[in-house]
Amino acid sequence: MGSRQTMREEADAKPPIERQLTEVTCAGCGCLCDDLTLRVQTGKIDASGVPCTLAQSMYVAAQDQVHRVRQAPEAQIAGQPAPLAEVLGLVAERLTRARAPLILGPTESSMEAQRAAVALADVLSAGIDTGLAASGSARWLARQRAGWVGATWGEIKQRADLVLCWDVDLGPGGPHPRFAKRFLEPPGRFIPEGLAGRTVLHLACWSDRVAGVKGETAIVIQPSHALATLAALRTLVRGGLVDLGSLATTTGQPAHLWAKLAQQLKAARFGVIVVGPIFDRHASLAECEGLERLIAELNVFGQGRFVGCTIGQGGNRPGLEAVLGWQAGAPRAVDFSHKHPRYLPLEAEASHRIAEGQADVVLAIGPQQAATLAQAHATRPFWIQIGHNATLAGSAGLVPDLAMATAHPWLEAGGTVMRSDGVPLPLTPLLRPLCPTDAQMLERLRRQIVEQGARVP
Amino acid sequence: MSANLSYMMIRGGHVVDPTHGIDGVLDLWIDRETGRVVPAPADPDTKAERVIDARGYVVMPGGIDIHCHIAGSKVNAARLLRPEEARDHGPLSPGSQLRSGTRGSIPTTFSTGYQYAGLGYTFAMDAAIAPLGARHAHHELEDTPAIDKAMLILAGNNHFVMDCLGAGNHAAARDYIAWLLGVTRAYGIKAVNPGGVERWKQGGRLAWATVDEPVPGFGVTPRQILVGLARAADELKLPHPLHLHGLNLGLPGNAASTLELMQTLNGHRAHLAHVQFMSYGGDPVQPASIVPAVAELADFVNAHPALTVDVGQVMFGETTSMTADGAVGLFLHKVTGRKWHSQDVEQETGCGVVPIRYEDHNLVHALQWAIGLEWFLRVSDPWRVALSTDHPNGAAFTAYPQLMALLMSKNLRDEVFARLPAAARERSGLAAMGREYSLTEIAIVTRAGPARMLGLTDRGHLGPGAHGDVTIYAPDDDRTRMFALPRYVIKDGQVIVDDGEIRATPQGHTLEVAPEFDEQIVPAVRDWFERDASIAFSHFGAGPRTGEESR
Repeated sequence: MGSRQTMREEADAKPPIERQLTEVTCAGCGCLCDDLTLRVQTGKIDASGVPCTLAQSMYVAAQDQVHRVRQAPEAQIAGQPAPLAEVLGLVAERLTRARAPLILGPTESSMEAQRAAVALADVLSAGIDTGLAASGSARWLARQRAGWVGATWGEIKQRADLVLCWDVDLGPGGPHPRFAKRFLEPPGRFIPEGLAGRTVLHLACWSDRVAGVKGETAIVIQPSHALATLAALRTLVRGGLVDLGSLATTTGQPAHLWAKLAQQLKAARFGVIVVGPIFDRHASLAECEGLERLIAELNVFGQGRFVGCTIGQGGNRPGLEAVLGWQAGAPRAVDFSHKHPRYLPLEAEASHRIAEGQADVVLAIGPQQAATLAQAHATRPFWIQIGHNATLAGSAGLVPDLAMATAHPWLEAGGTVMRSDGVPLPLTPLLRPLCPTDAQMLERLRRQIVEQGARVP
Repeated sequence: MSANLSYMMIRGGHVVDPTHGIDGVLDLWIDRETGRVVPAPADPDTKAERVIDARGYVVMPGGIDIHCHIAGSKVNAARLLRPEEARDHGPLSPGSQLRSGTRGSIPTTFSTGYQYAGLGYTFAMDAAIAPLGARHAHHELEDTPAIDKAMLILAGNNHFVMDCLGAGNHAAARDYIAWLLGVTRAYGIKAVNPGGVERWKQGGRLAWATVDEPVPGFGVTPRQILVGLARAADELKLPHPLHLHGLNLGLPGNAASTLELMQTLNGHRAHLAHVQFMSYGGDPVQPASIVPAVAELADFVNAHPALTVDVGQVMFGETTSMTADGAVGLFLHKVTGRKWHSQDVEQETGCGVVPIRYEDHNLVHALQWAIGLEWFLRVSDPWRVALSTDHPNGAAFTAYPQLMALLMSKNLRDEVFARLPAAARERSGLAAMGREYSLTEIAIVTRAGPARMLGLTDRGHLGPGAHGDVTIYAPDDDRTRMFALPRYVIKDGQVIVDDGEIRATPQGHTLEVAPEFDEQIVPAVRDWFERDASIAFSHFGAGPRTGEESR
């Protein structure tokens, strides 16, 4: 791993390349579209031809950040520029001496970097979580109680004749602008009419409006009625008796609508309930479990196949959950402090550990949200930031005690990302990095820590 | 006279190397630079730099697991589904120099490698990887140290294969399979319930009435898929033939379709996986009607040398069922009422994961246990039957020592048999079978045989040129203890386990094949893929190699 100066000289020595890149993977939203065509000219990405306004703005913003990072220090001590090697040594030393280190795992990095991050947590006997946001906690606990039924998105495209969008806007103006374009509108092998051959239903609970793909039915319920609604639907699907009048009174929706919805779900040849970040953020454990059980029961009591589909946010949280799964046996909230991985939902969640002052050193990998860092302000553990914008003034919301910049994970680093349906995809490096990648940085850090006497080579 | 720094000598052990007909005391030499077994040096004064005194010990090649599930999306989903498994079995906290992990029926990757090595196994074949997830699976295999490994890719419900075979275009199916093996960096092909997963995904039934029912929308039958894939594997000269999980897995009465499939193969090579689960008589809709139907099937295997089997032995206790046969996952969910994970994979396959506990007082489970053992005892040629539990379906691979002990002792089998339900004892012929495996036969079904079945010419034996993968056991009347705790395990000439302690964790090799094919097939594959798949064509497959040497 060379210094920033060395890498810059090497980059400058090479002639600028003008090239058109096809089948580029975009991590800007949970769709992880991998069919983009971009032009890279003299080190600049031209995404104007990309058929997604969200991706266009993401590439503009990310490239602007890359430009600013290239002017920023490669490493810092308390906000002041410092040589990378010196900071790396200090980071290694501080982590090795830590009483209760905590790693905020890289949810925006490649799986290669994520593997290195979990390896580092093992070396350090540290805690590791997928970030400070509670998002995902209830979903995983529900899955571990009830199981889950899913499918890769090509299955939806090929087979889905019924699509229930629950608090998710799949239209071009929504947070997943191309999902419908790619997976609902085209004809599928078993749905030759494309979107016209699919029944699309909408249910809004935590969002303030029904939006997205034009649907046949739109149902709006209050958040406090979500659990009762799920329970009633499950009973209807199982063929049980439900007081539809009472349900209508509770939800404000007519009784016949619920009966019809249950019938439609049961009659699907291949049905799918699509949820997104809103559901993930708001649904309780009981509601998540109710949804998973409803989907499973539709396979038992329905006419055909039924699956769930979760569309995540941008980045690579599914990748980190998968890596934690195969290296530590759990998707999040893992604690290595007993020299082996323990899955401790709630107790080992990063937000809890920081709020309770249980982490004395935090290694945050990747960009952190302002709210995350505001929370960290209160207890102020020793804060180490590794990531693309780690040394950008003001980007962190607090000044990290130690910071090291890395290549942009989507534009410069390359590697593997995972869609929330479990499909792995490659990331194409678009620009020559002037920083080490996060995978390289974490591996170098691990080696240095081992040399200082931690327990794993 | 000085020590030759590159040599390891294993002195005076009781070497059991069935491939070369060796069952006696001799010295074994390994060149540690190449990691290969070499002939004893011509100069009798040659000294090895590392000498392992194996006098009084049993020396075998490293174990070869022909069929297990240790990597990829299905296995990882099971880990995420079942954190309680990790808690129940305690952690793997192996101290310095190693990665920690979890144990149980679905251990984490590092733990998987260490535990296989700890049992004296040096190779494991993951038998069911969805090609779409090959990139993920290779990541996991890179994180599975100490053993060599490889993967079989699922092809029995692949739309392109079924389209080609339905159209009578065998050559296209064959060329596609060759292309698929190359881009996924896989070792062989597996058919799981050929056509049946696709039919189930369309809302179809679990059970096939005959092997000639068409798969809706594809104009092809299970019989045609089976023959097409077996023929393709033969024509491509794959080192391992078609690996088959048949129809109606786990259902009473499935022996009829198993026999019909074997007859259909008509001389083509094939390996029947976890055949125990495919060997039941009875009525498909009456689980309690299950009766063993091994005799006729085993007789057929005995009479047809192109066929081999692994057993998929059930051992009593808690484990995790996982299969690409999505319909079976739903069936088990309904039967057991336990949590269920299912994932359909576009154009290729499905998946089902359900926790399961095999109870010796349960009629079905008791008969499954007995049926598995019957297979080991009824196949007359041990080279044609491999030891497996279909890890983790019948039991975790960590139960292998117990299984070896059962094979070597009728008394031990009788002890377990005696506590089975009376109805199971009445239906099973196990008690009348007195055969006991010898050490040589154990070495065949755990090493030499599976290596031969997989076409691994340089593994599973200790002749010159073989990988220096050696397991040294302390003889013990308690065979479970003997096979559970090797004194030494050596991988490519390096001691990796010494008296239960992991000493080294080489990365291990990932084996793959890349058969030649007619490149004209690629545009057609691309057209089909771009029409139906959810990812770009160039992103399909395993991606560039990042780990250690592959073959």
